[in-house]
Order: sequence, then structure tokens, then C-alpha cells
Amino acid sequence: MKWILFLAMVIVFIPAVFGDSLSSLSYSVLIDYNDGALSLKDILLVKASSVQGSKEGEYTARIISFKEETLFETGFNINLEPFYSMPLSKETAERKELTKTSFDLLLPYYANAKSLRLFKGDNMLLEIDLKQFSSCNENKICGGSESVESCPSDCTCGNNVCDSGEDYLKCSSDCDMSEKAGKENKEFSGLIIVAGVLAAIVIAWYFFGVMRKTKK
Amino acid sequence: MQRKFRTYESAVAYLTGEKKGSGKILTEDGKMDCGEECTGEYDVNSDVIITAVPENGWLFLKWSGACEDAGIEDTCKITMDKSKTVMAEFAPVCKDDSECSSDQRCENSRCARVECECGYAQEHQCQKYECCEKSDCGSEKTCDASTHMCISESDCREFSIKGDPKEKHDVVFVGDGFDDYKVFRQLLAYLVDYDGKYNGFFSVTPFKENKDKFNFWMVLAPDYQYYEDGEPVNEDIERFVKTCERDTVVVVSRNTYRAYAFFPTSGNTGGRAYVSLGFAGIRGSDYASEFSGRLLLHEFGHAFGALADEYVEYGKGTRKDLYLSPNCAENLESANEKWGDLVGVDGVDFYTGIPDVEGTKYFKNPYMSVPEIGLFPDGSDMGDGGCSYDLKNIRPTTSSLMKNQFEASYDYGAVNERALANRLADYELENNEHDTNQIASQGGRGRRFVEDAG
Repeated sequence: MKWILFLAMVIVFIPAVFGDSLSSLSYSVLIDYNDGALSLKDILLVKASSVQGSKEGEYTARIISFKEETLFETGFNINLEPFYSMPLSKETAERKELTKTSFDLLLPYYANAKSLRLFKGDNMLLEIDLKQFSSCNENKICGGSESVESCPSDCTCGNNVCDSGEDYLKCSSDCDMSEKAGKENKEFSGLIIVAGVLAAIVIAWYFFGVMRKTKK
Repeated sequence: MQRKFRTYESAVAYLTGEKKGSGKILTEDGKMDCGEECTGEYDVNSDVIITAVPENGWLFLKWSGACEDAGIEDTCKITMDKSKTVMAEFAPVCKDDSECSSDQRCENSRCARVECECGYAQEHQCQKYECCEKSDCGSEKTCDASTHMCISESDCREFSIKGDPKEKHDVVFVGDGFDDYKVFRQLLAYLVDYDGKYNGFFSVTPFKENKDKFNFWMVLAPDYQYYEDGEPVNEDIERFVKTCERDTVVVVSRNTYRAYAFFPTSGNTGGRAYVSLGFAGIRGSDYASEFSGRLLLHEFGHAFGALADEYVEYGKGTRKDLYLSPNCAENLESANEKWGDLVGVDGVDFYTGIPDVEGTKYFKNPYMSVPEIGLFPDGSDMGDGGCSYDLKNIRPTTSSLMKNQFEASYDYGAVNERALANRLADYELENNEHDTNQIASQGGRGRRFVEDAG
């Protein structure tokens, strides 16, 4: 019986654990190169592991968030000259350098990525819109398909704490109406106390002045 | 004398009220008026009738705690056999959806959460995700469960997977001219050569010591495009592999053309090799089977290790990216930096095709390395000293797999082996959880192959 249970657990859990770790989500970006100019050929989301990120390379690929922060950066090269094997004949023993080619980049997926920028040195050669793949636009409003998991920066709602900026209408799961009222009442009470103290000081100062005048 | 003790039992029990929302919890006897006094003291085992009374604009929703059994009834009766806590939940009354949170709608005067089977609640309604299941995404895409977006399905099949692609070097073989996975898989078994019997990929150092660092994938490309001059269209490679796990891609072609490769584009990844089986057999059909694996090793040396050719070709001139190659140098200083510490190990030195250059050794091939095409106009041969197409460049050995892939006696040589081993150091050797090695590990007769449907 124990063996059956053990086997069942293995069957159930191992594929799940391994399946998750086998691949991650990446942008598969296909770029055309034509005499120094870059253009987007195709971009798609795939289950594949992305490049690790390299500091070396004549070119740089940079993924930018909605907040204009760099999420990922890697250096890369564009190969225009193949290494040929030994020639088949004297006629084929010639050098070939390409002016047109295409290349691909497997880059990590970010839910809050706004664009992919490709640079040569400081010169940006191409910007690719990634918004179509984004599920987190970092506008501080939890909307669209954003969730606490995919977009914690917009969706603090759901953490069972009525955070600053949240109220019942924005986040019923964290805030109830009485809490909101309570908060408001507390804030209101605080204001009344401050106003009262200020009023008392003004009145005291007024009466002190009147009394001094009367004595004179 | 036996002493008698009286057991102590508390004579009272306490009832505590808790509430969520705006309303009161009252007891019939008036001992508890929760709103102001939320605790009442009762004799043990006395019965208490409790009522939930919502404030104006609110509704009683439900009980929990000791009154849980009463559910949505606003009155609850309990026996105080011990101290107990009751909780009443109130919700605001609504007239329409606008009085509820965006993720709720007004139902029976109450704001109720919008439950979405596959989507998210917004504007009091369910908005459907882009996809919830594969059928939402068309034929060539699948639904990603975490993002609910349609993503492209991989066109590649497993040949031999040793572990998580994040930890392994993923090689994709593109079967140019192949339309049957079974046939292609059989060919790859020879090329990959897990048992090292066929001069294939795992027959040489450092790959044979690092078998577990590679995942191999395969995809058929029966209609791979070619130029009129008989060379494959480089860019067509993406049509077949754009959805696959990939670090290095190797096109294995039935057609005959001059095999070639491109260096990695980013770190260890992005290398491309074009291996012509016809080219491997250019010296006769017997060579095709014997040296296809060695041709793969040569091109893989370029595509994975950024190794340069260790031969020359007349009039080509030095490449601009020579600095990337660990096995070819433009001058003695650079050569010393790259492999100076290995001089003397297994014949490693500084070889050029130019006589009398200080610090280097002149190497003149005693025979023509490729008899079919003869000598270059200056009398030199491809096997002469020099590398990356230029006689004056310096290379580490007189011959290696990066010079001559048609001689089975040569391996990569100490310098290239170290360079390749350095690249392999980035990958994990352990982790064989997902081992499909059995698919390809058996060589020769009795080899078992997984039947492919395609």
C-alpha cells in the first residue's frame, strides 16, 4: 500500500515540478540586418530558456519597463562572415562577407516590459514595442488582466491589508466600508483636535491681550 | 488520612462578539450590545439568543464562530458550556453596480464578488483572458497558464534531453531535406554518437567527458530554401527553430555545399552551423558516413567555441573578428596571451606559414591537404602554417580538428580543448532527472529507437 502511495506521489509530483522548471517564457525576436540597419522580422512568445546575458558584444539588447527601468540587458554580435570548410574546388575558395542577414535573440519575458531597444554603442538602432505581451503597465491602477502575481506594483490589492490609496471601492477584498469610515473618522477626529488646540491658543492669546489692556 | 479535594469548575463563561462591517450584535437578555459592549458574562450552560442587527444601508450577511451553524439567519441560539466567540458579517446595501467595488456587482441588494471562471473582474463584469485553454489559441499556439496569453508551441522534438534547458546547452538539429523523424533520428544517433564509435560528436574531448551538459532537439525542414548557386539561405533557419529551445543550431543537409558556420552571437549562444552530408562525402561516398561526425565537430567548434579555421586560403585576408578566436592570433604577443602557457603540451607551439618570423615556427605541409584542388598560386597549401585564411597568422598546432576534419587521428588539440572546456564550464553536469539518453545512446546493431509518428 505504501509503495502504491509512493508511486502515485512520484507520478503526480515529479512531472509537475519538472514540467515547471523545464522551460520559461521568452521573447523569440527575429531581426533583419541590412547594411547596418535593423528591422523587426517577427516576434513571438515561446516556452524556452533565454540567453543568460553577456557583457561582450558590439551590439546591446535592452528590455525597458513602463517605468523606463532596464529589466534585462545583453551584449551580442551580428555575424556577417561565415567560417567555411575547406573549399570543394579552387573556384569556391573565395571570401564571402554578407551585407544582409538575419539573426534571432531569445530574451527573458517580463510582464511589465514596454519595449526592446537595440543599440550599437550609444546609438539606438531599433525599438520594438512589447506592450502587446505585457500584463502589467505600472500605472498604479490594478486594471486589465493585472493581478497581484503578475503586477504587484499596481495590484497591492489582495494582500489582506487596506493599504494607503486603497478603499472599499478600489479593493473590497482588503478594505471594508467601516474600515474606510473608521480611517476617515480617525483622520477627521485628529483634525478636530488640532483645530481645537489652535482655536484655544488664539482665544487665550486674545483674552490675554484684552486683560492686559484692561489693567492698563 | 485521605484528604478530599473538590475539583474547581468555573461558574461563568464569557460571550465575545466580533463583527465585520456596520451593525450590532445584541443578546436577548441585554447583557451584550456589541457596538458598545462586546463581552457578556453568563452562567455556565445557560442558553443565549443572539441577534445581528445591521446599520442603516447595510445588510446582515452571515455568522461565523460559535454561531456558524445559524448561517445567514440573523438570530442564533447557543449554550454557554464554555466561553465562546461569535462573529457577524455585514455588507452594504446597494441599489446598483456603481455602489459596489469594480470587482463586485449588486445582487439582491448586496455587493457580491464577480466570480470569473476564466478571466478577471472589472467594471462589475467578467473580462475574459486572452486564452484559458489551447483551443482559444488556434492550431499553432498554446495557452500559457501563468499569463493567460497565447504562445507559440515548439516545433522541435526531443532527441536527447539531459535536464533543464536553463542549465544545459541546447543544440537543435534542423533536418534539411528530411521529412521523416525516424530516419533523421537514426542519422543523428550516428552524428551525436553517444558511445564514441563513429567519430561523432561524443567521440572526442572535451565533449565525451561532458555528455550530460547537452540537450539535443530536432526539427524537420523538408523544404529548406536554397540560392541558385546551391548554398542554403542562412535566414531560413529561423523558420524552423524560432519556437524551440536553442543555444546552437546545426543544419544537417542532404545537399552538397561547402559546409560553414557562424560564431556565437551572445556568450555561448547563437552559433549556427551548416553541415552538408554531401560535402562530408566529397572524397567518395565512404567518407560521408565516416566523417560526417567530424565535419559536425569542426563546424561546432566554430559555432560553440568561436574557434577559427586552422588553415589558409589564398587571397582571403585576415578576418576582423579574429580577436574572438582562442586558437588563432595575428601576432606573437596575442598568441602568447591566448596559449603561451600551453606551449610544449601535445605539440602546442606558434606555427605560421611565413618562414623566419622570430618566435614562431614555419610549417610547410609535406603533402597536399586537399589533393583535389592542388596548391595555391604562391605554392602554399591549406595545411600550411597560419590560420583564419591567412599564412601570416599564428596557430597552436600543425593539425587539429579545426584544420583537417578528414583525418580521424586528429582531435581538437590542447588549446581548443581548453577553450571548449571553458565554455562548457557554464553548464551543469548533474541533473539527469529528465534523461532521454536511452533514445540515442545505443550505437550499432541492436540500437533501440523511439518510434516517431512523424
